[in-house]
Amino acid sequence: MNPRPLLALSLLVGLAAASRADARGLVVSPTQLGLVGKPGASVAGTIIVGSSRAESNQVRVTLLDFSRDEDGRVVERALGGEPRSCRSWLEADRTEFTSPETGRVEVRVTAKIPANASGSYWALAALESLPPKPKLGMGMAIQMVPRVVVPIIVTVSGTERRLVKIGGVHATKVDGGVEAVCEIENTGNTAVLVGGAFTLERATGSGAAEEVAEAQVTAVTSLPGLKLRIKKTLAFPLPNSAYTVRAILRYGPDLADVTESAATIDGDAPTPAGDRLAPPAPTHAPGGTP
Amino acid sequence: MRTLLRLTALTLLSGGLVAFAQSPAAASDRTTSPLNVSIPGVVGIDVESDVSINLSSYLVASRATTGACPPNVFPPPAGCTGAAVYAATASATTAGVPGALPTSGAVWISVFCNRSAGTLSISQSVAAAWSGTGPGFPTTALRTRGDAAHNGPAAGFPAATNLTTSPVSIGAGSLPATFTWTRVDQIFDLAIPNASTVPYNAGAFTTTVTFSISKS
Repeated sequence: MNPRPLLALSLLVGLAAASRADARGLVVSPTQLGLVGKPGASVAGTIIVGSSRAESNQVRVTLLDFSRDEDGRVVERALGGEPRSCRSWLEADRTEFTSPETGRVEVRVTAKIPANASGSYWALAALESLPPKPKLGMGMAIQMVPRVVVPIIVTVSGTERRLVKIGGVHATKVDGGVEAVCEIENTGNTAVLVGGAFTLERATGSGAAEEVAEAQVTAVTSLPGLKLRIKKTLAFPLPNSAYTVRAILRYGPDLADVTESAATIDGDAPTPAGDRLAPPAPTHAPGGTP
Repeated sequence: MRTLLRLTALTLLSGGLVAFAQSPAAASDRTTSPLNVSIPGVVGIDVESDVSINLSSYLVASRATTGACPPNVFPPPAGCTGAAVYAATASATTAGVPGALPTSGAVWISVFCNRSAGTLSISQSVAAAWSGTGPGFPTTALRTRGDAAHNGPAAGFPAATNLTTSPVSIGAGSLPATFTWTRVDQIFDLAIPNASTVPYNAGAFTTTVTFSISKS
């Protein structure tokens, strides 16, 4: 047997492994997966995974627990540390696979909803691109692991209670406008997407309010039991007047699925006409006319 | 009534129910379950570098001192105080990466998201252990800071900050939703506090640092 082809093949394999060794990464869709099903049912959704550049990646899928901080950021929790975790209900149809140079891989996530569940529950799918076996030299080698985490929210249909309240609106003057912050709390049992707007209204002489600026709020996830802070800037200079900053948010399809709150803020004080002080009082020159 | 009118206006302005008009695929409110909180969009992360720290490359004779330990001097001078800090000695970056090469000792990281709304989170964590026996000090002696030269949304700590084994946010908020990727390079170094009390084993060791991204 001629060993040359085998040698060439092993060299090629070695080169391929070496070229794959440095770059790694992945692209994933959707950014949040919502699943809806009845108590006792199984529901499934798909996460699509591709390589971040034309190189294959070894991808591992792990299910984790998470919560969100008041700015809406994902905060990973120790396993078992999230009271509304659905991690144990979830199963991914593949936990480790090769993401090819081109094309994509579908990861199907199935949730088996317990019969006594109600409201929404959540967990995290973490998809990480595994580094190759390190080439050891002297010293400390630090390998990077890129990872995309996708929140998975399971809602048990027929058991949902949607209720979101605005705890308060705060308005602060900033350069060129007003920074509006509202704190919302989901006091129901269901995860919702909150949307709506902040408006800036100016009092008019007739007693009516005139809307002078608006900033939209688009599809922010609110989890039950958690507070969330939404911040927007309303671009409008504030000439002297009284203003109202209002937050109007919708969190469901019903007319009642609405919450609203407002705060007042004063405009800038009027600038005195001219920026010079009044002229000094006239004085009589010594020895002047009596 | 006023609220109702305003919400109707908002609904019309945004082309449907503000909260649930999510994507072309979900354009019909009649076919979109209001309970489904899926958020469409693509999020991605690409890493093109690994780094290493070889203390042998910092070998230099030094005099005993009672002052602060000078950076990049190994072994640290006898009697010096404070942390002994060493920059990463090598940053191996894939050949042919687009854009400028990373700063020395930095890793080339790029992130992508095609959805401008929502919150971007980038977090980092380090594995709890080195391979084998380890050098004698913990992996959390490694530090990172954002590399201002190649860091679009300014993700990362402004000053070198120790890695932790639990994920810690290094930035969130505004990532431009463009067709291109955005660099978020990070500079690595190693800081050994109280060097005189820390054991050190020479050898070859590895660990992993995970950078996570989420958009929701």
